[in-house]
Amino acid sequence: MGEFDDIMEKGKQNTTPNENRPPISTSNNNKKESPLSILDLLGESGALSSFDDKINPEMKSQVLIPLANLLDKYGYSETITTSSTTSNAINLVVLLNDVIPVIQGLSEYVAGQRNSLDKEDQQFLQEIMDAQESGDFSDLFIDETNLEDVSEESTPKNIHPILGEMPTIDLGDGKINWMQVLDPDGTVAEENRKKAMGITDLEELELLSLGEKRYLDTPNISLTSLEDLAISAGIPLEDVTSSDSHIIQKENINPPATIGGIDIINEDLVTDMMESVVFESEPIEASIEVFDDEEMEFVEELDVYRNKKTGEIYEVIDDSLLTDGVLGESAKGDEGGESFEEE
Amino acid sequence: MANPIWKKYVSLQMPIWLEWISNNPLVAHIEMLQRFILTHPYYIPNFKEDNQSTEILAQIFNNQDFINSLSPKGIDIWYHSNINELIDSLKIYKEKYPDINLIIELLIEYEWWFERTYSEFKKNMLIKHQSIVGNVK
Repeated sequence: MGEFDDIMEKGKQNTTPNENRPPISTSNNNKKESPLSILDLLGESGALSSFDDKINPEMKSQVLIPLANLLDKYGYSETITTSSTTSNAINLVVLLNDVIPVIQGLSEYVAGQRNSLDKEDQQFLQEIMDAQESGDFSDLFIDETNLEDVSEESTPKNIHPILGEMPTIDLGDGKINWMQVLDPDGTVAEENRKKAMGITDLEELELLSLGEKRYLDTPNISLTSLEDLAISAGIPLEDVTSSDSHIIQKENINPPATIGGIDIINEDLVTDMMESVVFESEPIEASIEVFDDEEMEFVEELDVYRNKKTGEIYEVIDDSLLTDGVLGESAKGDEGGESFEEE
Repeated sequence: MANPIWKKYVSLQMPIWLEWISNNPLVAHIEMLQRFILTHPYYIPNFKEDNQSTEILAQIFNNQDFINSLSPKGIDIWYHSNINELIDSLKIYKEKYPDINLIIELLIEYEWWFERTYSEFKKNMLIKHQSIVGNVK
């Protein structure tokens, strides 16, 4: 319950009609007048013609005329404040369909429209700029022409003391072809290719055919012989050679003293060494084996026999050695086959 | 006598500023920046235009091309300048353009904040300038 309940009469309704209240007017009851069109007002003879002249033509076509059509269509020009049409939900959808193009046109106009400076403003700003540039502060700014000169001078050619001119290398570009950097003309690569292929230049071939192959880097110096020097000096060659201490004359060569007294090689020691070698080595009879011809194959290039199974190589020994008893009786027992000595 | 660097900078930037002002809600931008300053008094913002709160800052201060056009002597004068010298250079326009007067009032009111922020901005601009000049040399 509220705090104003005591001033209200409970259970009594005000049923008496208020005579002073004005009757509710309905739009249908209004007197029909001649329809008023906003487009007519915006026309040349209309009341808003002066306003129309001040409007941007683009805005007029995109916004104002669609909007005026819309208002005329729904009778807003007659009853702009009250409209039963908008209360109808079905008509509201139709209304929105008609309003959307207008809003779209308005937004496009606003978005495309960009204010710019007037000529008066531009002139004003230019005057101020000119007045300020007249001051002697040119050293505070880099002249554009000087800037171009600096940029041109600032890119000198990359010259290596040994390799000569080299292209600019930017490590940020990723993988670098160093062969192209170091040998841009490909001359070194071509020389290496010719060397690898054994290709000789035509000029070099001609020199070789004439027997004038020489090293270009070698200095062309010819030494004068001792005879020429002696002749040019008018001295016999014998006198020159005899007076040269480095040349040993044949008559001065003395035979060496007899070395018979000196026992350079002890013959007894050599004999002992040879005997030990001979007796410690494997007897030749033990290395002789006898195989059938089917087991062996002859290798013509080496003039030897090769065992087909083991691949071992054997040398043929003349059977006459066996018959002479040089190799002993054990080898004789193997009949029907050739004798081979293992290598 | 106004700083010659700021005078030239303002005269070059003024057409751009006026065009931006005529196409953007300057008062709203100023209010946004005021709120930003009051809520972030010790925060140094980036001078990027994608941040709406500080877009006006980028419009006023951010011009690397102008800094690059300065000679070493001009760089020295610019680097040791302050916000008051910028305000002096703007005063010539405030009679004709009331919007510029709003900017001047903003700069005066929050001079302490602009001074600190712009000193940081100058360092970044100088580093960029040195890197560009270094590449040219």
